Amino acid sequence: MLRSSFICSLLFGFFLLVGSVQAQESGNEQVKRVQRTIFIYNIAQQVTWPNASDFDTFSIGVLGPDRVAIDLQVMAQRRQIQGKPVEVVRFNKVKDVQGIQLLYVNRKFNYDINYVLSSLSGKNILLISEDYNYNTSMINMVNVGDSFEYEINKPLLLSTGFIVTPSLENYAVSSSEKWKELFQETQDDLAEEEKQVEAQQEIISERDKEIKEQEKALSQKDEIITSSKDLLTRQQDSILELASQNQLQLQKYEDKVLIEQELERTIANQVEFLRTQQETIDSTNTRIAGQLEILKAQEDEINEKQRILDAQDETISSQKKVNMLLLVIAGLLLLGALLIYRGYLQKRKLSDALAEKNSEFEMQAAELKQKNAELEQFAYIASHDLQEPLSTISSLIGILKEDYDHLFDDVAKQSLQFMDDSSLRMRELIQALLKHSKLGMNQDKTYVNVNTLLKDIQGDLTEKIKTTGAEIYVDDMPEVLASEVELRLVYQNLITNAIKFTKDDVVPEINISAEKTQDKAFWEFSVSDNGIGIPGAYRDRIFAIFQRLHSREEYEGTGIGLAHVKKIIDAHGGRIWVESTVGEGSTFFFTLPV
Amino acid sequence: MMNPVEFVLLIDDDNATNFFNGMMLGKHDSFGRTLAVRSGSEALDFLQSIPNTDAQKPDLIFLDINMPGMNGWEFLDAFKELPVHITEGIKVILLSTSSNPEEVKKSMRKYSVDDYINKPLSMNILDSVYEVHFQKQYSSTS
Repeated sequence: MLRSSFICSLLFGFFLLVGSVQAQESGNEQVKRVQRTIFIYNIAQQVTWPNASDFDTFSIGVLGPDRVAIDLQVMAQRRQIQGKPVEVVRFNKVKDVQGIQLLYVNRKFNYDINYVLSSLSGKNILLISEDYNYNTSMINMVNVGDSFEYEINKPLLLSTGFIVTPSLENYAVSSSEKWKELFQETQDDLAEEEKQVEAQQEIISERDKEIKEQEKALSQKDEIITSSKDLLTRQQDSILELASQNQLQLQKYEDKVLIEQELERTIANQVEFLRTQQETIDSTNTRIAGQLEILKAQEDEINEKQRILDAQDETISSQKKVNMLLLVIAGLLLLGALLIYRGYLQKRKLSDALAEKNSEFEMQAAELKQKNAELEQFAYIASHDLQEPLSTISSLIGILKEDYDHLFDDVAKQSLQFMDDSSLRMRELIQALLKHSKLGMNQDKTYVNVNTLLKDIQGDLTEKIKTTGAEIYVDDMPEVLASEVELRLVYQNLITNAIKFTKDDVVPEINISAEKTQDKAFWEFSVSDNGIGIPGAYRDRIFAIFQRLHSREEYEGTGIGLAHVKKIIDAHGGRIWVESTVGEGSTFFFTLPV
Repeated sequence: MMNPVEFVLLIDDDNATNFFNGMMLGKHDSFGRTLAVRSGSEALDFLQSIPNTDAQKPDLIFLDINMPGMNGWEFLDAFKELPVHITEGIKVILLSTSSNPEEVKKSMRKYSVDDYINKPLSMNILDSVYEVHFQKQYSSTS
């Protein structure tokens, strides 16, 4: 309340000075301009300069093309500061500022307050700024409604030697929070001002009307003057008439002169009145032109702000698009990463499962190997142990046949013969089993020249070949890594079988050859004959131990030969199979790694 | 008087077994003459020839399982395919030395076989074979 009454009293004094013309223009901006000017003058009045005695004229500097310079100049005609006449100087550049006592700068002209302050240092110039941040200047004003508030940077003022009166200090805004609030109000006012521009335009048009009315009034007054002149003429005429009425009227001459003087005064008054009217009209016209200029400047400013807003809108919308794009890209990247991770998980799961299977296989293989070893051991021991009682039986049968033969009848003799045959067969079987159990255990593999090997075997079988007249044709055979003893057994069995399983009237014909498999990893050996052939149902069974297709009377043997062969080929990492046509012959194939 | 089981066919590839089984059957009062063949195919040939030669049909076949070439099971498959007038009334008993009789009995279910006994034959075994498979039938008809 105190502050507002103080400001009111300041304003009241000023309104008396400005008079009816100012009152006529009651626009918001106009009021502000007046108040700003008064504010600056009042503040200047309440500060003591350290070098007050050094200047005769009080100089106010204004930075930038600020209209306040005009207002200050107008005020200078009526008011003094510190008892000294006031002059106003304009500066466009901060570095040019000198020789003044007070500098006013408005933030809207974008001067850097710190730079301004530093350039004022040591020049005894008081800085009054407007709209800058709290405590960044010496004295800082802010517009609030139709009035102004201010804040004082006291430490700075003191350090520069300025002394302010207590009343100035008391009414200053003393906290930055309050300052910000006020600042916000000015921002709001700005928006309001924009609205008021329109209102002002209306006012201007109203003023145009008023001016026209005034012109009308002026012309009326011209008429009055003309009519006054007419009256004057008429009065002069009447004076002349009176003068012509000579002596008689001479006594009234004094009175006439008085009347004349009165009339002249009236005319002079009217002329003076007209002149004042004309001045008023001229000044009104000037002000209207000024107002129009301000309006145009404000309109430009509004347009500029609109343009900046549009540009910002555009920037924001393009930023939004960029953000959306970035979001989409980030989403895609995330999706890709997820897919890759899922694939990795699946792969890992599969490889885990594979590893598990592998270890399972390895365990099974180890188990199988152990079982095989046990089985071989069992067969070996069983065969050995079985042979002992068997040889006892054979020996005793031998004694019975040799020493007691004459005591037996035919049935007893035949029984004895069957016993002898059976024990002999059992011996053969046991020995075959023993041999079978040992096969595949032979680890010392060498490069065997199969050509040489086959020649040796034919040498061994010379007797059999001669009696049967068998023809054996051998291709060029390779060298192969194998146990020589076992490979010899394989060929011995296959060739022997080929000679054996023929019809009596057929001369055995045997072809032996070898070629690499398609993947070049194996040799594929073949032994083909023109024998009796093997029915399809029995082609697998022939490789099983003690499996025979014929009675012993037809074809001798224990039925273990091909079981031996299969075991040997298996132990060498190969494969054996047979192709055959019954009555035409068979071909045995086996493979060995190259 | 005639033996209740007049004619027994022995199928075994082993001569000694056939010789022994024949002796056993010869000694037993309930069984008549025997014929031994060395393979399933030989037995089939014999059976198929019966209608043409007016030979006597066997009452009982002792069949070895483990034989070269056609084994006992394969013989049974072929036997089943023979004309019914040949096969009807012939009892088939498996003879084996298998150390795993359970397995043999399991396989038996898939074939029409009357019984399964372990080698070698003995008088006691023949007694029970006669009792289980022939005595009731004959006692009811005689």
